[in-house]
Amino acid sequence: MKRKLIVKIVLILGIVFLILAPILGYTTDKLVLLDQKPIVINEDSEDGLQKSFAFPFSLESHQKISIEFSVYYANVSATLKIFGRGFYDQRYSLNSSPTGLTGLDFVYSQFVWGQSPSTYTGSDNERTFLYDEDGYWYIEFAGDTSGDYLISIPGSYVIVVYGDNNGPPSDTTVSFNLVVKIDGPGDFLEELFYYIGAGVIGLLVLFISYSYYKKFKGGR
Amino acid sequence: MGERGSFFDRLPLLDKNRATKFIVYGLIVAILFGLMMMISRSIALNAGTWQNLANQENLMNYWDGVYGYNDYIRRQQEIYEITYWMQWQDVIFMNIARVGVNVALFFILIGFLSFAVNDKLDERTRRISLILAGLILFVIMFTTFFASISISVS
Repeated sequence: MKRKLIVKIVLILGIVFLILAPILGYTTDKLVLLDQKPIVINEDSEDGLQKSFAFPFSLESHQKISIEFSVYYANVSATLKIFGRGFYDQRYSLNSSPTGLTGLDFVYSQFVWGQSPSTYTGSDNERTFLYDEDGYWYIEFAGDTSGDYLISIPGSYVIVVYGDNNGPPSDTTVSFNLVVKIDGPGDFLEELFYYIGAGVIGLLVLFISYSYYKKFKGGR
Repeated sequence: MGERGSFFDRLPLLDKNRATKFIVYGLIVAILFGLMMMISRSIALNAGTWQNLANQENLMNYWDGVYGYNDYIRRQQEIYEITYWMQWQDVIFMNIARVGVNVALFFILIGFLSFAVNDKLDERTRRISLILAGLILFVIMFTTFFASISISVS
């Protein structure tokens, strides 16, 4: 009786692991580092890094971040660049203008239904929305690119956004939206839970088979 | 061992009850392994269909903006990997199942042989049991030395 209960509990445990695997994988696939709509800076952000928006982050090997950068505010022009942390810190102390600095390469996408993904993907070192433009870019970054593919270079980086307001002189604010997500442990957890679930059920099947074999051998 | 003798010593002298048990357990094991074979073969044969579905889902997730180009590429590679696994698992499970079915058939063979040599049974039952045992032996020999037995209707 007790053995049957243990078998039932182990079986349920195995099934729970198998059910949890894809759920955990999906929920922890990407972790949100920043989700702010809008972020407001001043137009003098163009003149020096100390007034620009900066968001530091670190990447491990084969980890990437996904950035959703959008602008839909009147008279706003905004540019996004990504710098290495060392380079940024050096230029920050000098308060260099971000307009003259070259950012690191990233991959950006536009999602066009029915079209091949590669057609609407490109790589660049900056993304800009001009005064008369609203828009949205999905950006992926892992350190560097080769064509439209990411090269993983672990390290510390900084996302920098600066801009200008083309409205009346009194209106100096630059508003934009930014969502930053980083690769989470989703893949690892999903695989781990699948293996544990399948392993538990496999061991249970072996145990039951062995019990039957013992019964059979005993002639009962 | 000991007084009762080894497993092989006792084989042809199985009583009626034990021989029936051999046949029933053998049948159950053979059915289970046969089921495993069919499921494994079905998964392998439909790997391409699954791949088409997964690729379409991947494309639609990309178009929906759920993830970007490099996640799309990564998922595409994962789909290829899973497809290859779906095909390769057939080799693993088919071989395990083949061993399992043959062992189960061996038990059934012993069961029928025991019926055939049991002088407490009537002549007709013994004869049918012997024919069945021979048939099972034929199947075991074929599935051991050749890939499988197949029937083609044209």
